[in-house]
Amino acid sequence: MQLLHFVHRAEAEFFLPRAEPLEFPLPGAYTIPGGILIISGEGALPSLSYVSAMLGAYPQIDTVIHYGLAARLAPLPHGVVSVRTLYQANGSEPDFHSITTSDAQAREDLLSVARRLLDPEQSTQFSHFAGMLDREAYGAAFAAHLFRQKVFIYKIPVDSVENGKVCTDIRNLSSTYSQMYLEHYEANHQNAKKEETAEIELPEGFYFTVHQKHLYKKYLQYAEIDSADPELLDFVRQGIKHPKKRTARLLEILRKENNPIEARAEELLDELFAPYRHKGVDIKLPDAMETNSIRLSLDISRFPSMKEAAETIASFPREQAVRIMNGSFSKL
Amino acid sequence: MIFPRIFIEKNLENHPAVLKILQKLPGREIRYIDSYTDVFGKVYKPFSHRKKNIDLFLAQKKGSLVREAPPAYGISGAPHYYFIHTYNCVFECQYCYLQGYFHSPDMVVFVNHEEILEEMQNTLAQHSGDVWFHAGEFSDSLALSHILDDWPVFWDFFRGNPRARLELRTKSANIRALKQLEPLPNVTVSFSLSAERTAAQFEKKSSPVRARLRAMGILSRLGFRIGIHLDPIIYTPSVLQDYEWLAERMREEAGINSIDYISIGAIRFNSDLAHKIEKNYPGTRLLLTDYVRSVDGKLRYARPKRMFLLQSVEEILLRSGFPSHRIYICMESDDLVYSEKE
Ligand code: SF4
Repeated sequence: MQLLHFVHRAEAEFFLPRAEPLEFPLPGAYTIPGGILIISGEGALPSLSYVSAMLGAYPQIDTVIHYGLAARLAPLPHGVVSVRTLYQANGSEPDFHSITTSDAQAREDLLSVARRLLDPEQSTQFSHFAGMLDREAYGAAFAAHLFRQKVFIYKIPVDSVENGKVCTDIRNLSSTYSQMYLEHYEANHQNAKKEETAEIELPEGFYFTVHQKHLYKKYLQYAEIDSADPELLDFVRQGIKHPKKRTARLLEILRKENNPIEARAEELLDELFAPYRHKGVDIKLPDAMETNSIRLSLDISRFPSMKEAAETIASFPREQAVRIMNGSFSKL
Repeated sequence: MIFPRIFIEKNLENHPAVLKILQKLPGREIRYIDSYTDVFGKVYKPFSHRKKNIDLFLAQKKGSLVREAPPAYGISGAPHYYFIHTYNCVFECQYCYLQGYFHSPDMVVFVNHEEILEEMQNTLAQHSGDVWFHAGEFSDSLALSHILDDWPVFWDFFRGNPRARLELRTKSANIRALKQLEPLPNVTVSFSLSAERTAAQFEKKSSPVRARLRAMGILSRLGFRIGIHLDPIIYTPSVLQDYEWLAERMREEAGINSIDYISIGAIRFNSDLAHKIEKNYPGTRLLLTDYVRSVDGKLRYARPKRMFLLQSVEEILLRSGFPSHRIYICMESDDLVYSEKE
């Protein structure tokens, strides 16, 4: 569900014929096809409060879209401009934090200021950081960011701040702007199909936890394949009954296929340790084989004598094992 | 257009280096500011801003200009320092630790070379033997050298100080500016090389590996000392064949004798960088493989894998005729590399 945010009623004019007043403690809220529209009034606080209130009250909202005007500080394309990154300045200097919108194609930046800017020197200073200036967009983006929802900020750059005067043809043109917003919205959001989430198909007869699903996807992507080999899947299905165990085995096979060097080291270590494991020696390698400490434990009662147990440990091929862990084995 | 906006610190307006750079970058929007720190890194400018052109700052570096290099930085035995003459890079290697490092992808060029050289002189005086100075800790040393024209002044210093050794580290084939300078025995131009397909995939905008190899060959024939960094090595199924090819080309282009050293390192990064890579290059193959946290906290390939790669590449180099004393393994703490290596 979308939340459309406007600052002035006149800017929302072309959207309102399709809007129905929404019963909500805040005035200026409407339902529209596919979402909610709000008109917050001027300033950062109303914008932040309105968007936050709506996001809190309607958890179905997954996208915040703001339309409004911005003062042009630099040459910019005409028409509706999508904002890439938003900064804010409460005083004379911008704050460090910024918010980047969900539009990966956007190229222009915007700075939201607390007060209308009349000082040309200040506008030059701010133009180092962004090509547009407004008062409300950062609040809307901040709320969306806080609620971890997508945010799109669209601006029509208008006035430039020159000689201390702000050109004010905005009101007369707001109807034109509103129409431009609607056209832009229809082209980019209303009819836009929901982005398809690249879901991978999980094989039947396996049970995946969220983490395992992530791993499975990663291994397939790394191998540049869409799904695991059907023969491999059948092999695992036939060999193992339990869906959870099947998944573990499948992931282990895929991991080894993607990491043949590690797989070779593991294979060599398994071969090396096999006679000891056979005698009941439990061998624990260091985490990720990062150090040389190998722990051996055994149940003495399983050995005919202490001497034999001691001899088994004494004969353990530690150096060979360390060499393998250290990557010194013949080519693959 | 590269650098559509150039920010210049007001007191550098007439600095010869600034004027030279401006001459090479005509038609830019020039903005004068008090200090680069008033704008650069002042706000968090996401790395994705690189898609649009980045700004250039011409500034004066204050504070320490020459810093001690991290351990295992270069050939052991001599002290190693790096000096700061530029922040950020025009290339885009996916594994580069500079992404997001300065909170801005814009580039800063420091033009107060004299002060850098003065600090180098002082550093040199603290030691009796050779001292290495590395450029390229925060940027590529040659990528913009034809515009910045910054190396001649350093040449004067190194010509007069044979104990001082300079390393210019690069992934660029841009040797136009260097070709105007005479080779010095204490200056090494070191090329970072990767397997071709790895470079094409992960080192965007830098010169293709073949172009780097050719540039290396030209410099070597002109008499320049050459260094090579085979770092980071990234695993692919054909990695060993790719490095065999590379070793042969290195030998053909530069010859064994003009190569002072070859460093080898496997891909590694800290978790913070891993997050940045994920954010800046969603879905990159670089992060689709498994890494472990090694004893120094860095994410690396599991030890058998990375050590196998390092040793195999070392063997390839030895087979190609490069002497073992010129090969060193970079940025692996000693206990990781050599503890069990007879
Ligand atoms: S060339 Fe070096 S400094 Fe530039 S992006 Fe690549 S790794 Fe980073």
